[in-house]
Amino acid sequence: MSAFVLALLDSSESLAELSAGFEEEGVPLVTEPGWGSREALAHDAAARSPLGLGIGGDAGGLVLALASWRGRPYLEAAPAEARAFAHAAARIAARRPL
Amino acid sequence: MLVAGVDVGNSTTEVAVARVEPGGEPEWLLVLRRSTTGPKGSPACAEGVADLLAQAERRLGERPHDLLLAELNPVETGLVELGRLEEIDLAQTAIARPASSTPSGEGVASGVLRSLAELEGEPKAGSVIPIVADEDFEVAAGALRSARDRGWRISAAIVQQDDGVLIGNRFDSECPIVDEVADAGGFPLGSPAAVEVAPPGASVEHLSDPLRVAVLLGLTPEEARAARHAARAVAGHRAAIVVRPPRVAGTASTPGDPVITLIGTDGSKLPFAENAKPPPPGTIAAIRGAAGDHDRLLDVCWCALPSAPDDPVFSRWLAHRRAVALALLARSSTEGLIEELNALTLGGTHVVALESEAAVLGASTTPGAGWTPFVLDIGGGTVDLHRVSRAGEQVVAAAGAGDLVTRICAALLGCDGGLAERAKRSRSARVETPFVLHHEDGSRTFLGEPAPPGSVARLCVVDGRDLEPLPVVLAPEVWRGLRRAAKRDVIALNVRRAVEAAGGVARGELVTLVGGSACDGEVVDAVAAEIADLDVAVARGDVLGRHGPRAAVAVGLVLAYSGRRIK
Repeated sequence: MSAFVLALLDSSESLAELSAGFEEEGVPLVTEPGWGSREALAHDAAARSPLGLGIGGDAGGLVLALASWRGRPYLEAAPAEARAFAHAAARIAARRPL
Repeated sequence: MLVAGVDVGNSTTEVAVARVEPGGEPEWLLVLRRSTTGPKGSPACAEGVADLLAQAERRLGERPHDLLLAELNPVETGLVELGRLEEIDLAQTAIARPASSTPSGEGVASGVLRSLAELEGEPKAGSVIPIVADEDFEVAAGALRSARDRGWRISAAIVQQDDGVLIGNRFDSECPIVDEVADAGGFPLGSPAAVEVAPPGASVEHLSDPLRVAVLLGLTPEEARAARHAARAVAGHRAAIVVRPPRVAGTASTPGDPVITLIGTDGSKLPFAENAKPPPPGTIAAIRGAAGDHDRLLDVCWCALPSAPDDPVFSRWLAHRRAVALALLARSSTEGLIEELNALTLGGTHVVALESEAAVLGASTTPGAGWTPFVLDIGGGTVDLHRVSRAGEQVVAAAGAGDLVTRICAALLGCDGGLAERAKRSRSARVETPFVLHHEDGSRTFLGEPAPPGSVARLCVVDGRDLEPLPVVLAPEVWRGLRRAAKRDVIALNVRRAVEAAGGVARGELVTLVGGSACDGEVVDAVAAEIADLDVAVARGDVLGRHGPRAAVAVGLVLAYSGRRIK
């Protein structure tokens, strides 16, 4: 499966919910372990994603970054909101309205 | 002496304050406006007038001594959804629901509705469609696998939450499963149902066919009529459900009963026909039925929602709703309002002219116009025609203007009146990606900063740099067509009705447009196109050379008070 969206996670806490959200939306997601802040991980992931969308995660939460925007994260969520975050991120990748 | 011309419209209240001395021209000091408080002509309107007078006093250091008012008749606008009435009427026969855009599996299936708990028992004969309520997707998929292993014939599934694909991937990825069915928990267990999931990019073709629905649900020939409404309700969607609930005795509808009856000024009863042309202003005295019971009417006007030929799915949805926008102009008494207004100034309130007469006087202050004997005042509630000729004056008030267009926009977009008003007046764009806007003319522009996540893949109202998402999936080109059609169908239609009721307009005549709706260039274009065959000069008023088409009535009232008369 192509890594249309790449997630680099410093913590596996949100992995299951993140994967479920993307699976439900039918958007391919590849997850890899990473080390660092969620913002830095998200920008690294976005740079490697064909769609320019990257997710970074750590114990404090999840963020979605756009490869062409170095400003604040495009989406942010606490670990408890990982499923809803995943739905939203997948919909942005698939160009479906939230 | 300081006087204030007060124009209380259906949506906007305006005051024009001037110093008037006997024999002299008014010295224009101020024009103010705000939204109308309460129904036009009601005592509640005094609150808005009091607010504007207080603003005037603060800015001028002096309170107007007299208030000048026109005779007022309010307009009520509404929307009757004939298709919705039929749905309610036929709810005993079929429940039809479009489902989410991310279903699982593919195909059509029928069966009896069962809960997951029921599947724990001994398998029953025939196919079943389980309803997954708030169970976790792993638990639900496990229960479905177990039930099938024990002999239950599971033909499809209905899921309340957004878990259809997750369940399908763990149970049977080919089984049609629809999700995000919020009211699935209320579906009648034990009832026959049918579920269809079309391939990606396609829409249901079995459940949108009344005969297939009848066969799938085992409907009797007498119930086939219900199937056509169920089919219309789900047509154009990728996934859908139709359920046949238990029959309830004594709830059969009577086909053919008119839902609205019009009563003419001669007492005759006319059945309401949604696609018929509304009768001329002044011929309907009352209305009964689904739009409420109203008497003392001066005009009734209606039009169906516009269609979107470039968007067949949206067009079918509109056709299913059979929504009709209605405007009712009623005769009313303004005694209560005048009583309230009398308390606001020392000199009291004077009714000095008809609204349309004041509009002519105000429109005539447009630079370059000279005298404007043919004025169309296009406001929130009505299109008022005022014509002055050798034969005298003619006044025609046609119900339905800017507010009715807003009501239609709200119905098309599925939003409240405030957002619909902004969508009516502003251009739109679709946010294709966080950085790309697709405009109404098909062009694209690029954003320096990403658009908000909630606006991505949505049609948005563009207001400067702000993007306000609209709750409808439409291409900007399609929405522009619908928006312009609404203006044409309401305002241009009423201009035509008013002109015809007035006996036409002389070739080459100057037709001056005033009123809040005349600020909208699309309205002016629609009116000019509608009466292009009459070969007249259509121009927008510019009251006092600085207020555009607004405040014509308020300014005209001051002119009428100072002795100016229509020539």
